[in-house]
Amino acid sequence: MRSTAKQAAAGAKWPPEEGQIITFRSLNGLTEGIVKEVRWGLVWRDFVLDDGRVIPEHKVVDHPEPPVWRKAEEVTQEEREACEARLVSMAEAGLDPRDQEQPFWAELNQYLAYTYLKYKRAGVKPPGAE
Amino acid sequence: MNQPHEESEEERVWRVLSEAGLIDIPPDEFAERIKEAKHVVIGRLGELLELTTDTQERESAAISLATLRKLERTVSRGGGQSSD
Repeated sequence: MRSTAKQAAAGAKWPPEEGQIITFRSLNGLTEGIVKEVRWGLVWRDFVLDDGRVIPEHKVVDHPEPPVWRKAEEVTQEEREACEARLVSMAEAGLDPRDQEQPFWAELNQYLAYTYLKYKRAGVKPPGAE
Repeated sequence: MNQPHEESEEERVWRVLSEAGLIDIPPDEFAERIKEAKHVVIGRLGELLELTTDTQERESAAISLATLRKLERTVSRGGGQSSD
């Protein structure tokens, strides 16, 4: 089991490559998974595991501090619209964003962070903020 | 005398997201986070409507708002099938 996967070691090349084992913080404590793909979301990088779970980079042990991120201006209109279409599609398909580490949860987290960063820059504060 | 730590752009963004509770949203707080995001978009949309320029951002904000409203309905239903 997992005999061909290599553990992503601290100080090694970052981000880990496909097939490497990563350790990440999960609801059940530290968990391991095998990286299938590393991809950029609207704000941060997500690690897609071979079992379908999606782990944000900042939950992976030994990630760079502070984590790398994208500026809202770097996200193209096409990219944002594609993300919005996927989110609406997943919502209409009856998926629940509260299923942690699943694609809907991961994408909605990023979309809310992106939306906040994009429109907050004008100085609008959320309810309850000073 | 020690120099105060100057916050980098990366640190500032993560602090802003962290303070807004948007880095790792607990499952039972999605509805509240969506509501707050809507508030931010509505605020910006209000500003944009007073401007005669930048219709593209206005349109983007309107689409984002519509998306957030659809997502809000899904989350408030508990993730069930949409009836829209």
